[in-house]
Amino acid sequence: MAGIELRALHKRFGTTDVVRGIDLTVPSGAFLTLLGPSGCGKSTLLRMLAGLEAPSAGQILFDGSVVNDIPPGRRDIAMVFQSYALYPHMTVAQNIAYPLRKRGVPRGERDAAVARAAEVLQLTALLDRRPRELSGGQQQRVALGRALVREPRIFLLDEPLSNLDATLRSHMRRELVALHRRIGRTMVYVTHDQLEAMTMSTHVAVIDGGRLQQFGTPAEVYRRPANRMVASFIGTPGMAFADGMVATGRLLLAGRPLALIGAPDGPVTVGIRAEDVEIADTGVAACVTDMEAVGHETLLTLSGEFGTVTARAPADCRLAPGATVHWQVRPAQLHLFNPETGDRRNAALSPITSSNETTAP
Amino acid sequence: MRPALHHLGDRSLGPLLIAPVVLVLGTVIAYPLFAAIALSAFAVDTPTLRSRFVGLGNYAELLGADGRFWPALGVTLVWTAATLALQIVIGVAMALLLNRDLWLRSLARSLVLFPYFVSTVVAVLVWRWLFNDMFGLANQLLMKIGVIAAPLDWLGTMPSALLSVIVVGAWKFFPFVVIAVLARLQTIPESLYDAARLDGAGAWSRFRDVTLPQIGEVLGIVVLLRAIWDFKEFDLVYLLTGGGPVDATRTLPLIVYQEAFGLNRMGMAAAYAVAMMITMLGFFLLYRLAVRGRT
Ligand SMILES: Nc1ncnc2c1ncn2[C@@H]1O[C@H](COP(=O)(O)OP(=O)(O)O)[C@@H](O)[C@H]1O
Ligand SMILES: [Mg+2]
Repeated sequence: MAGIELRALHKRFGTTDVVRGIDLTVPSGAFLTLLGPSGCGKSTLLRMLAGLEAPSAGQILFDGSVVNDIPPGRRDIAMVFQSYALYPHMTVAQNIAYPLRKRGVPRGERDAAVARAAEVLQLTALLDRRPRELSGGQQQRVALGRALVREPRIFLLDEPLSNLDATLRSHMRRELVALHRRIGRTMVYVTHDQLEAMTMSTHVAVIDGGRLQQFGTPAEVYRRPANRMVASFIGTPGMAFADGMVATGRLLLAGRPLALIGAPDGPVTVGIRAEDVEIADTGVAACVTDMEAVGHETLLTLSGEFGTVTARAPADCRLAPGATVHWQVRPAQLHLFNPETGDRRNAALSPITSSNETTAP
Repeated sequence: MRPALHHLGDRSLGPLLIAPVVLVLGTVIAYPLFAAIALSAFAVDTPTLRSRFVGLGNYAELLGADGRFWPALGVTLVWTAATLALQIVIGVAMALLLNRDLWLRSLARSLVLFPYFVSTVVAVLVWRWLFNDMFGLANQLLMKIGVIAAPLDWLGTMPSALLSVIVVGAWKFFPFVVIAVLARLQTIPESLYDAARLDGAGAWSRFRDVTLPQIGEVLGIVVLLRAIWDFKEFDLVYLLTGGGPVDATRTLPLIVYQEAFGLNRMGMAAAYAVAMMITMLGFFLLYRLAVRGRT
């Protein structure tokens, strides 16, 4: 049985279409990440799941039944807001207990549940504080506690880590994954941070302009991006694109053959990830136009007639800007896209070797 | 200049710097206050300003033989409490309404201020016509829908006279509550309401658990200010009923006026004014205690 199913989900505010027909199915217990740039409609989609916005068209199903007309309080979901939305005049304990109180859970049970949630989230010492007396990370845990305490069937999280500093963010990322593993509930997680999506999710839905661009596991989305948007959004540094040409079974970049290809002649966009670029003695000639030391490695920006690609080099790389290098890429690691639509093109690519060089037409 | 100031040293420079403030406050607040208190110890004839020291005599009369103080204090308290309660209820309700996405919201927001901007004299004239026993709209409407059988002398009989004053006061001053509360409402993050809805809170719970705690502080100040202003309100009551019928709507400020300019007893007027001030001070302290006890 499906955890969550969206059917042709649409949302329009006035004359603006914010969500434009999304179909999606994730199994119960999934960690689904809605990933996309700011303003692409992620929060709107999440708010529709929560029941805080009504869909303009389409259906939302939880465990196989349509929930469109069920008010938020009765959808058996909990949500963590980007701003945490803690009740400022209530203590931590009262905040966490609030959803139980509103559901008429008796006092004793309530206190026990709050104590349990506080234990899990290491909030026990803070139960009598008010939100303004807490740090951002602590407030975030209280918001999680308030969601956790009533054991909903679905958790909704809207960029919950975006207000935390980098260290805390990576810590909370692991905490959330551990939490998901422990309680096994379906989670829907909104973020514009592809790293979070890659590291935490079982399923990723990449959204842009209110449309679903790709849906799959993090690995699928990374390895086989469905279009240029997904390819450029996922991975750091972003995928580089170059205008290529297919002519008589060869893929040419700036007129130079790069690989053998089983595709009809015509222009093609070639996508190259930095980690696939190898600095070598031969290959495509390029000029180092920029170097960025990021600690454990150095990112090289390489420019030439083909355009610009990024390459990764060791931290102790001795190159200097202005140097001329050669680079190579294994054909199987190239990504091809339709230059007009941006959609992925699948074609068999193989290296040009001296043996098949002679057999090629 | 600089060496001269330097020469003064911190000890004398400090008082010099706050002197202007002290002077202004002394002239506009302390002096009139003490003048009134001093005046209340004399029997003064207003036209001639001939005065005779009577000590606490005015107060003794006020609390004893005079006989008007206690009934007037009662009326003043009823008027203040009732009109204030109405102002708060109507004001908060209206603020909540105007805070929603209402059609023509900005127009509605300006319209709501109208009673507050209209001069009391004009407003009272209009209301007196509405309440007129012969031609008034109130009588016409109530008779048409069958609430009353014969026209009522709204402002000439009790309890309708006091009721009318209270209602007109609420109408005149509720916009103040609307403005103060609306300004605060607009700063409450929408996500708090979203969270409450997800937590299973209905409309009433959301009001009580999210809205009320947030506007509590501003309401506290509004209640304090409006209570003081309503307690001292003179022109609205004076113009609407003149304190009548007989003395049924006569509040303390009306007696002050009557003593000072009607009966030409400035000393007694001052005694009434000081008594009013002491009463307000008493209520203010009680209020402070109550508010502090709750937080
Ligand atoms: N209540 C609303 N009324 C009008 N437009 C809205 C409303 N909520 C969101 N939008 C618009 O919809 C778009 C998507 O918003 P949102 O879902 O918050 O994006 P994201 O969370 O992906 O950054 C934005 O352009 C935003 O301005
Ligand atoms: Mg958002």
